[in-house]
Amino acid sequence: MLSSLWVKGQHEQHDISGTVTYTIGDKIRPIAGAFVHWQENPSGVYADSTGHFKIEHHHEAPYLIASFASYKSDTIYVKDLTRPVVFTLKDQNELQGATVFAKKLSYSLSKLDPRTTILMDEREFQKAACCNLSESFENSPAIDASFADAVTGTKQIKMLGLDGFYTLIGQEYMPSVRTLNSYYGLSYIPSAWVDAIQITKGAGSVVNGYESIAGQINVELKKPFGKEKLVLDQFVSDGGRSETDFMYVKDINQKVATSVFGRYAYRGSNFDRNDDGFLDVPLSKDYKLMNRWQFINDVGLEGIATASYQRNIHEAGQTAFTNGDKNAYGIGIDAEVFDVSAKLGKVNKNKPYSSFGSQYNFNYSNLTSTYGSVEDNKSYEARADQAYVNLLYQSIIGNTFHQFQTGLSFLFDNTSERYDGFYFSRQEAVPGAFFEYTYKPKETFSLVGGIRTDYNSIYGLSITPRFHGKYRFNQEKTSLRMSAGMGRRTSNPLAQNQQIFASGRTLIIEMTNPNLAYGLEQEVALNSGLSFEHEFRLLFMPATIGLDYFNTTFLQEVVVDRETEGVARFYNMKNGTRAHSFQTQLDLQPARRTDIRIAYRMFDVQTKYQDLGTLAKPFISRHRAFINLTQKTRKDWQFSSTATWNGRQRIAGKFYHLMPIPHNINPIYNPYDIASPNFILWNAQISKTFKKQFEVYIGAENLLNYKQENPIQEADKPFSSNFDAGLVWGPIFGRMIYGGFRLRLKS
Amino acid sequence: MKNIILAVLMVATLGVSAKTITKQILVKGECGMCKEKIEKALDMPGVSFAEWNAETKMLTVRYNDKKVTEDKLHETISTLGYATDKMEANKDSQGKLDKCCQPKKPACASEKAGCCQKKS
Repeated sequence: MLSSLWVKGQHEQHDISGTVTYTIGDKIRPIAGAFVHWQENPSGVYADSTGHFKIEHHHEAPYLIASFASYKSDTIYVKDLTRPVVFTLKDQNELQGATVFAKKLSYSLSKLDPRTTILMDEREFQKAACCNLSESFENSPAIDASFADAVTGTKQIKMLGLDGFYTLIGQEYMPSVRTLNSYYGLSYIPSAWVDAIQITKGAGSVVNGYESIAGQINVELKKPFGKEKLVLDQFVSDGGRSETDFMYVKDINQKVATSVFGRYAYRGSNFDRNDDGFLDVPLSKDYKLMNRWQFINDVGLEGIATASYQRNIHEAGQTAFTNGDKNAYGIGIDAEVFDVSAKLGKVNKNKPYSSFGSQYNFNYSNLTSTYGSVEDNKSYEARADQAYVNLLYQSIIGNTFHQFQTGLSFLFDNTSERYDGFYFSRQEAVPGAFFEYTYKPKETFSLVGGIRTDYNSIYGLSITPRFHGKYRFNQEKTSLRMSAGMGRRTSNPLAQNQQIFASGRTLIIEMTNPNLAYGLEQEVALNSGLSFEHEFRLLFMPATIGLDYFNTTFLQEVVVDRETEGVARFYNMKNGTRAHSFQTQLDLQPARRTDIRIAYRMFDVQTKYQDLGTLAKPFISRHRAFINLTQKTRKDWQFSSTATWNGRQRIAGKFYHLMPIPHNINPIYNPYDIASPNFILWNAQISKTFKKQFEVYIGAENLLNYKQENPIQEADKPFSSNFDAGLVWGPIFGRMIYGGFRLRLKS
Repeated sequence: MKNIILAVLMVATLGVSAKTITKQILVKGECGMCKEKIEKALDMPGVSFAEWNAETKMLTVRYNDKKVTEDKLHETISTLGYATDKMEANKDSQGKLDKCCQPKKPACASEKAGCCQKKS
């Protein structure tokens, strides 16, 4: 009796105290509102604003659990009741919070995501030369990046065999790189500012909208409460190109931090290595400034606000033009973008699994471009305003096996464009509502069903369903994923196909209904896919093999038809394109610090044209193979080399003579006439890192010096209707040597 | 048949050519941070593979016995501050380890967090 009283007395004395924290880089910050409880007892206590908590000791259960919102909960075995307990939680959403237990891969398939999502961090895109996102996918077999025209020097991406504009590109899950910016937009994001990229193949989440058709790319920029305090990158190349990017973080106090970003890119040398009279890359001046503010509040409130301004001035065309000849053919592009966005989130302190989030974005873009001589030119002048609001509520139904996200969104586009006698203007307002349910009975199995309904002021009501499933088995070494979903988008025929302006083609838009945007129906497509991944050991070393297949079928499409010389036609086509994509990838580590990635992908993309019937979509390599070798040394040297073999691509306007054809197409079948040759692109880079913060690199792109012969059709007659700088399938300039440094100071 | 295997084994053991040995060594590390440290320290000439399991505390190591001896492996780990099944930890290095990484102290009670997360 006495002893039991004594034990009870001791219990009452022993409140256990401690703190709940999370780490950002090397810094530890408290988590206010984290929930702490004993394993046996679901009722518990909340940490205060300093992350501090006090909990009564529970004799039967020595395991104490701390959890908070999107952080992975942590369990600690309490041995010594007198010592404070320190929890350090990890953010499941933050890539930087990857566990110390596994070797962190710079390119890997997300294990948590029910979708086929590839995570790429900064180290991965640093293997590519430089400097912006359009150039950062050289080492990513999931994405093809190549030039779509021979003059602007901007690379365009393709995913699952479809143009980049069929991929929803988000900056921190807010729509970006769309409408007016769909052609140049990726080049507006400096890679030095990027923390990580997530690439989702196939249907994305309904939470982010209805626009993803081939997939989704999300770009996470560096945050003020991030792992770095200072970033300074300098790049130079033998093409007369240089770029400086920086970021500096200032902590105002424990709860507020701000960062400033800057970019200045310059290309000043007039060079024409292929002697066609045209500059191989434009002369350019790009600058961009950005400011971010982040705050973390005691009551679970978190927010980040960002504002940026940029101006991009490019000059291209005949070398004579840039040298001042007013009669020569020249291109001038002047783009200006102002963008503000904010994200605000609130976690319910009493129910850590439930949270409220909101996203706001406003974007103003203005583009003025001229194509031709000073006297005789066509100009494309466009302006786009975008406003976006997304309100999101996340919670559970009964228990965490049943999670849901629901919310409301509003997207507004106001665009006006003028080109060669055309004038288009549209105001498109799209309020929408979405609901996504996740059934997740365990970590290894999840099913997601999402649906959204939107009311488009031009196109009316639409319903977009999406499904995803994930199953990991075989001791979690094998995973299987499936996805199916619908996507739709309003086509921006001019803005997203700006290579057509650099040609003598006459633009024809065949309107379906004059009340619609450009008179064209929205594009609607179904996408479904399966992916398989298996992790294994090869001679003790970890290895991964992946296989995936995706199929995209357009129910309604806006076909870009450049099959007839002298004209570019846009028209609606029902059941237009069918794209099959198959990819396999093998990642090996034959020795420590050695990584090998081998990939092969096959695209079969067939498009239905109005007069010609079904043809392979032009400028897509049916076969592509890829190998990357990376060797690191103990002394922080890194040697990386990538070779890509690109199969033949059909050239627009050239096809096998099967159909009744317009008179001006050569009817004699010659396979080498209709398609590009195969070619290999080989890149290599050597870098050395000093004290984990200063890296110096030197590299070469296109070591084999492969060039497309005559990338500009009729380059000598730029004012003729057959002139075309948009028939590009290969590299325009040859070998490029570059070098630079990257400075990263940890916070 | 048995004889042949025996013969092969003998040739292998007495073989003049260097061979790769795979060994399991008990390393008395305390937490997750130790894993990185141990594996990084064993990234040395002659060692082709080293992986420490924080749960079982077993280190799997593959090495070429012409270039590195087993004793040398134990010594490296000891110098790092961890005890193995054959060698005590170097006391000086052990003292310099983060508190939570030191043996017989309550885990994760130190102010230096980030080194003691449980394996998920």
